[in-house]
Amino acid sequence: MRRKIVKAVNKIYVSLAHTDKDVAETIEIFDQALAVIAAGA
Amino acid sequence: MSDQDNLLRRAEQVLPGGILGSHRSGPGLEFVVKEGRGAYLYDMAGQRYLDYLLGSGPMLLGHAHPAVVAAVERQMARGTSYFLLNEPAIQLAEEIVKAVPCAEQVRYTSSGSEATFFALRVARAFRKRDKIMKFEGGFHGTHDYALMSVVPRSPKAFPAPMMDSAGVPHAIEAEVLIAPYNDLATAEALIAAHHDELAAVLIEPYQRTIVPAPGFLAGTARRDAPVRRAADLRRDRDRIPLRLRRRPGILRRGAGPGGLRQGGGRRLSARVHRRAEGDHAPLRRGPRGHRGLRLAGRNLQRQRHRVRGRPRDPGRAAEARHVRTALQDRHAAARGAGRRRAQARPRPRRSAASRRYSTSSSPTARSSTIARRSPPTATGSSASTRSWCAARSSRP
Repeated sequence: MRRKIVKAVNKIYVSLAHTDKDVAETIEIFDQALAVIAAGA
Repeated sequence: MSDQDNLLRRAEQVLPGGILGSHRSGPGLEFVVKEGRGAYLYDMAGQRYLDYLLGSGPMLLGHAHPAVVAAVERQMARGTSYFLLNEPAIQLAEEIVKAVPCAEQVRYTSSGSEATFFALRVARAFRKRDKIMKFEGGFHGTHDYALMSVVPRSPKAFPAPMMDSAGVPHAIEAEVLIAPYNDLATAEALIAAHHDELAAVLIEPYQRTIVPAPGFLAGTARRDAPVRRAADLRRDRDRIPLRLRRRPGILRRGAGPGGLRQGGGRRLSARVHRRAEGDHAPLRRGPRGHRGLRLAGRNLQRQRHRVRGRPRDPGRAAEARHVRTALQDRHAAARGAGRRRAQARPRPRRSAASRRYSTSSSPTARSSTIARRSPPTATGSSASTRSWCAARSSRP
């Protein structure tokens, strides 16, 4: 949420309006978030 | 204080938890949506968010797709709620029947909860059994039958359910069986054990994010499987609204994205059934289709018909008189209450515009009609009728 991505609690809904760029941006943000979590663990 | 902060504060006052539905952004991350366009949401401060929530699923085309906006605007100009047959409703039902292999007829509902609730009612009426089975973790809406073991905090041994909310009657807990998802052998064993009680099995083909195990869906759908023999298999498509996405297990195999355009951009929910289920006699108590209301008083009507059917039986004469009197008392009480309400209601002075648009009779006439159609109210005579029923049922 801090990186301005809104998702359902346990799901990600994708629409025809999402572009490849949107998806790439999302994956990058998730990677960074997971890296932060892994570093803190 | 910004507009957004002000709105958040006001939401706290008038909405439970300060939210709509169940989605919460987390402390300090709440925002108020000003608009949605395509894959993005914009808050009151103009901040952009990449949206993977999509109205909890139905916005398959993104927000405010021009084709959807144009279609909605076109229809808005013609009115939207008629409560009567209209061409778009018929066309859409035809499309749903084409898209969903198990569907022969469609009943529109306002939400997915309503759709699964009515689907269960149809199943119970058709099967003449009361229990239903669902899978642990499966979500089928927020009605009392569905809120069992969705997120069990202290799971019990199968098939005992765990209520997900306070306020669900314990009587309903006894009507729901829980099976483990992706465990066909256990599900089949439970169904076989409760063969004579089960009306339906509720299942999400893709339960939340869990992919079905190989053979699980095919096994439950096999016509010769105990599942099929024991109960009508009801497959609640991925969560509540019928989104018309075609996937193996519920919608046509191998279908292209053509199915996506239907229902995309607007919420849509419905239950579908076979004709035989929809036409089942117990569901035709209303003029058409099933009805959930107007049941009160029916037992008295039946009793009246029974005693009227044997008027020459001297042993029944007293009963007949009693029931006739009770019915007359209750109907008179209902009519009297209706008249009193109608008389007590002040007659508003109606403008020329309201007279022009009104198609009904006067308020007095309407309330009298309502009173005549309403079930009889509780009166002293209902107590005497109950005692008569108890005495009658206790006879050898």
